[in-house]
Amino acid sequence: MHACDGRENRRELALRIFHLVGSGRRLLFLPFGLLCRWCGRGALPLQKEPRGTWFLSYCSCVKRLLPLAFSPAAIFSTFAAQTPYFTRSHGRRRCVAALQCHQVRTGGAREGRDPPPPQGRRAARVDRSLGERQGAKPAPGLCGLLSVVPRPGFGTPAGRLIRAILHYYEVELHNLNPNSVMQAAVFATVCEGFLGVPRHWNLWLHLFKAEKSARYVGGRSSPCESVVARYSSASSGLPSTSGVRCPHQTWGGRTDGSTSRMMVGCSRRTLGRW
Amino acid sequence: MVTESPQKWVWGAPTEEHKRLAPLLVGLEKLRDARVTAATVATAFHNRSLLPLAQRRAFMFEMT
Repeated sequence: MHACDGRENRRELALRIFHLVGSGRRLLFLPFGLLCRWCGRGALPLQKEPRGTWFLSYCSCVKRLLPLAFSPAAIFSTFAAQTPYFTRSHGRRRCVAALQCHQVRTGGAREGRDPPPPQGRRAARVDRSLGERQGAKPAPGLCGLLSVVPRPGFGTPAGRLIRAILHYYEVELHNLNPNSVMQAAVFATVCEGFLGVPRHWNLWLHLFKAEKSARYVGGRSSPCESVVARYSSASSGLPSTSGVRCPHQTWGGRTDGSTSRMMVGCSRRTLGRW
Repeated sequence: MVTESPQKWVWGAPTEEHKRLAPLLVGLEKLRDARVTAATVATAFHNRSLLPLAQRRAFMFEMT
């Protein structure tokens, strides 16, 4: 039925599989589970992992079992080309965001003013061009990720905290410097891992503010303005409720007020107290 | 490029939320007294291979 030779036939076959997988039909879960067990991946991962993850694990299983049928590159390119179709059919932007590794849709700032983002094959072409050309201008509605951004704990699909920050401050991801991303990551870890509560938005508003900064980054002048989140502390180092920001005691920044790039494992003296 | 900073960039939670924030601030005080710094927190989530800003199905305190 399906010829395995030829790029178009492989794409068509992969597209059909994506259509069936994306529709969420229960009857297809059983062969997926058997496939995963056959490959030695253990139990059916559908109940434990996000959809994008089990989807990728399924792709890896297919890669092991049918190496000659179609390649993962063909699958991914087909998926990237058919992203609007997948999104429109099933309304699962979460799954799309899981596979768009270096494209993040940002909201708020340009919504309503810019033309809609490219879709279909044009989006895939823009996607590839982001990685190939240095300094390329991303399409409206999409932004390229700096290579330093994923280090401080950012990952796709983006969580609610970073999306709320981008939406509330009406900025885009590339407007945040890595230090701000790190501070958001630390805040999320403190809330969930140390305080034992979900990420608290009002606590974020209480502790941080955004400000426009074009100060020195890494000893050189920053080429563009960025948004930096600073800890608002009183002289005692505690979060203040009076609304007065003390510029000499910052959380995660230098005490002289400059926006240095935070490095994991820096000394406590450099990072300051919280 | 961000050319203007909007009014809501100033920090501060709504006034009616201050009472609810009090227990969290007490917890922060305890952490500060235990000498927990941003570096230790960052080291913690790097050691556990966590992405705090990524979407997760479970909270960190639910992960055992």
